[in-house]
Amino acid sequence: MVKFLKIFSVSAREGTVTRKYPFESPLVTPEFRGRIDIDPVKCVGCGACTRICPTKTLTLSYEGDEAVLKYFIGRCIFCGMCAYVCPQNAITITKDFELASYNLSDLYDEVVHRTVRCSICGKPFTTAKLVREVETRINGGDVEELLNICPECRRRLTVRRIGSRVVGTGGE
Amino acid sequence: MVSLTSLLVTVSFALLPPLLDGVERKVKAKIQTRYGPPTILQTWYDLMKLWIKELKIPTSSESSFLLVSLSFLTAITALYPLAYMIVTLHTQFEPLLLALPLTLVASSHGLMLITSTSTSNPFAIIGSYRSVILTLLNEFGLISGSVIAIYTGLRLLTNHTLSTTMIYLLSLVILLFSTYVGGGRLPFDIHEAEPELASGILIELSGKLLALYIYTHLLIRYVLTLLMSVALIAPLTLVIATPTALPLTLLISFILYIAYGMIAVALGRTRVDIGVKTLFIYYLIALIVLVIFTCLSI
Amino acid sequence: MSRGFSHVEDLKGVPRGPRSDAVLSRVLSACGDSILNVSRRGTTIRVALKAECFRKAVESIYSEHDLYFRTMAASDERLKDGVYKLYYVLGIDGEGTNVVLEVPAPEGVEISTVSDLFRASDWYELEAKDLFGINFSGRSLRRLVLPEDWPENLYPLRKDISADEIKSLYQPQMISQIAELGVEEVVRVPIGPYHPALHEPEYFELYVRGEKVVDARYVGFMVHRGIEKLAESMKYDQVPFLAERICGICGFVHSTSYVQAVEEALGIEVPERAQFVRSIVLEVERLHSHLLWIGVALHLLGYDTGFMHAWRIREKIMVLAELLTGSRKTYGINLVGGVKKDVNQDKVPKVREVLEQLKKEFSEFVGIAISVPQVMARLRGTGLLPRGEARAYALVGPTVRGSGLARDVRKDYTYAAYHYVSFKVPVYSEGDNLARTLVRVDEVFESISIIEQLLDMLPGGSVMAEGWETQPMKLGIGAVEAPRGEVIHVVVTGDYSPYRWRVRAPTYQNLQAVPTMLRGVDLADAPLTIASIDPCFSCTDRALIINLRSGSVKAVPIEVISRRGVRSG
Repeated sequence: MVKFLKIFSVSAREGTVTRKYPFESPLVTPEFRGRIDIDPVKCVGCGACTRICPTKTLTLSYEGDEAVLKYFIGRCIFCGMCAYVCPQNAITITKDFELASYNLSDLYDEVVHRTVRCSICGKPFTTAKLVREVETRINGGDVEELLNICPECRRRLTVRRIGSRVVGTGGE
Repeated sequence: MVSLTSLLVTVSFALLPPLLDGVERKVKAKIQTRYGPPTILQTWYDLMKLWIKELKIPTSSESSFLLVSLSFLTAITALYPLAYMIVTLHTQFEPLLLALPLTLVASSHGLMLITSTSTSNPFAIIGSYRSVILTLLNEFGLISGSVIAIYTGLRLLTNHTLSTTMIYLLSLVILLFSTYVGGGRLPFDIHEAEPELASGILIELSGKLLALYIYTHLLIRYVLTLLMSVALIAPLTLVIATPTALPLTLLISFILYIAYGMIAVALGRTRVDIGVKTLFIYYLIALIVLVIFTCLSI
Repeated sequence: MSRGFSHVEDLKGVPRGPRSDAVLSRVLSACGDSILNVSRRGTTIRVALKAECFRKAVESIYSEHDLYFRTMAASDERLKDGVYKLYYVLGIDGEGTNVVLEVPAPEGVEISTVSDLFRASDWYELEAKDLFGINFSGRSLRRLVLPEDWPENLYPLRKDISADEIKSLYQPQMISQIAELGVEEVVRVPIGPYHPALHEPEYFELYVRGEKVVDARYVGFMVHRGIEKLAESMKYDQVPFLAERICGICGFVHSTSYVQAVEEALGIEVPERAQFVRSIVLEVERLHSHLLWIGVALHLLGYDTGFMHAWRIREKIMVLAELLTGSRKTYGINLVGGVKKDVNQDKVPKVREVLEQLKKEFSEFVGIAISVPQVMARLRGTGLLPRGEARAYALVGPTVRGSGLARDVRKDYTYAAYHYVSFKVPVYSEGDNLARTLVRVDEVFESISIIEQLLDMLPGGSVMAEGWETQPMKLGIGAVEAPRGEVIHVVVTGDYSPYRWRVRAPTYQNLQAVPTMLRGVDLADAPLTIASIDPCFSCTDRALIINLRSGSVKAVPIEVISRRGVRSG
């Protein structure tokens, strides 16, 4: 009948389970996914992370001779998809989640890349590091000359080449 | 001299309830495996914080400030006859001294109910009707229990027959129940049940008014606990003098207050029909047994 | 492909019994020439039929005892076929097969209602009217999802209107009202019609006589978030993260439903290990959800100590979930084709240890909580839901299992790795709050046993399918037994994003029975009775509010611990 009083013995056994959190360390397991950290050395500015990011936390924008990869922590849902897709392993997931700040700029992280200008039209089209990365990956080859040409001009160039080849062959 | 002592005792009694509540909250937190408030002074801090807020009177109930203040004063006043009774218990017993705190507690309660019903808040009104039913029933236990327990208790040393002892113990049980229910702890806090009534009158009050309301509530709890303590030490008053009786009553009231709080933590909230029915049956059985014993003793 | 995987294929072979054939032949004979097409795929039989024959088809089958109205998805397919389409998903419980009635609805053509035959289809029809402008004949249509001041003839889920256009066309009346006040800048605090002390935007009107509830009605859809429209502009692998945020308690069931629907539509074979990981995480989620519910239920009964202890025990599950997935809630590991986080072998002992502890502590705790006099007195016999009503409303989850029907998606329409484990489906026939509570208590023990079995059998291999191609206009159905009942997602695939994604949370189905349960209960038991279906309003809701003017109306708050994090005040 008074079995409900057994709760006292359970309480005595368990003690106090709450934590004085801001004054005590938080309970975080080694697997916890917090904010991300972008390694500016490894990042080549390919933008794979910006295309998978479900909340558009990561954005890549071209401003003059600079390409800026922006990370706005305010929108981040800690899903880790960016780290999952990053081809350079430049993104690491940290355990940091205590991100409140009085200063809005604390919530922004930026990686600035130098852009390359198209050798034909002169417009900046991609980051210099990405061009270098592609160069090492393809390891030479006959397309090397195309590396510094923007996709737009490259398409025109290819069309012109095929055209000239067709015309050339026809002429023989 | 006695009046002055009683007055001093009354003042110290009046300061106690928020402190006891602080202890109760700490104990409650322990049972719920959490830290709880930082210190046992927390209820005092809460009250002081609420008191320095601006006065906001519910628009639908202009007289609420007056009513709540009156209720507070009535509750404080109820402590004086009790203090007087404790101080003089070894020399004399004035029946009026018992009637006075009971009347004052009932009045204080009544004033609170008027405050509740005068608001336009449907939850507060439903809650106050629940409270009326429960209080009416409980008043029976409170009056019969305290009167019989203190009367027989005081005579127990000179007339310790079995039936007197039984009557005394039985009336103690009735008083234990009724002081517990009167304190408005779980399972009997149905007038301000949070899930269905959104805490009833509590959400209508704020700032100073809320502070007064809470203080009054705690005072009534303590007055009832003191009543029970007096009934408990009544048989001893002939052998111990005031300097011992006073701290003893204090100690007993302190233990009782926390014990009540611990019981409340282990229980859920009753429903108005179940609660009233259970209480009615308990009192009825107690009354019948009491009558039987009284007949036997005559 | 491993040995076990072919076993899955065997189970998914259609049909698994004669019932779906019987239902199909009834439809075929009722409609004859009006049948446009019949196709079978996986566990689904898809019957396309002309709108004029639709009601006749339903009349021929609605009284089948094991047929159950699961969901209905409307879709704007005018770009492809020139018509809207309604997909009525009817499940055959014992067999695990679906019969999908596909009804083309040309612009301006009225579809006969079937809400009198399938009572559960009432809200679905109103929603199709609100969001697509599809008209139903033979019933009264009222606004359900959209707010009262929503412009006529603006149907947000139609393909020819973009989210930006909707924003420019609809301005809540509130804004113009503020302008009339002449205030330039104000903060709008959305209080009411629901009570400001509430934790979730639900609104129940309880008509009371004394302390007895005479009648009740629910007004909802106050937090419509338009996620179905949003998903149409998101990539396949981004949607799981959106789906997971439909519910703050059982989000993983939504992402699992979604990926299963896409996988079914596109015929993606998910590696066995991924299926196991999904099942384990789903059961972990059920554990924490049931413990949460039990805590809240005890709180509603005034037994706050029970609430604290239930959540103390639950906390161990939360930490376990974080260890397994990287997050306490919204686990974020589901992707189309598998999961992105494996269960490492070195975590297995830790999981077992926690489960063992949980089993001990939980049974001790339940024993104590049940012995509290008020808990038993107020659970037993309150909030009655008869079995017949439960069947008629096509209810799901612990709600229906407390009324004597053993409906459980894990058994009936098996998915993930559930066909590898043996478990009981707890059923109680009393139909009161106690029955629904006991179902959940028993399920906690079943879930522990399921996880233990899955860990024993955990196969090796990859957790992600290798590369998959999208194909447009394929239909997929994904259903998961969430802690509160069946979650079912219908996906029509598009090129890069879902073309149409229909989410149906269990509360959508269960809420319609709450007024029945409330009739005759005491006011004090109303909060618990409403909570006894474990409602999740944000999962169900879609819009602002319908204004009502009626006599003595009282809004009663029920407390459901914040589904979306802690709020101040």
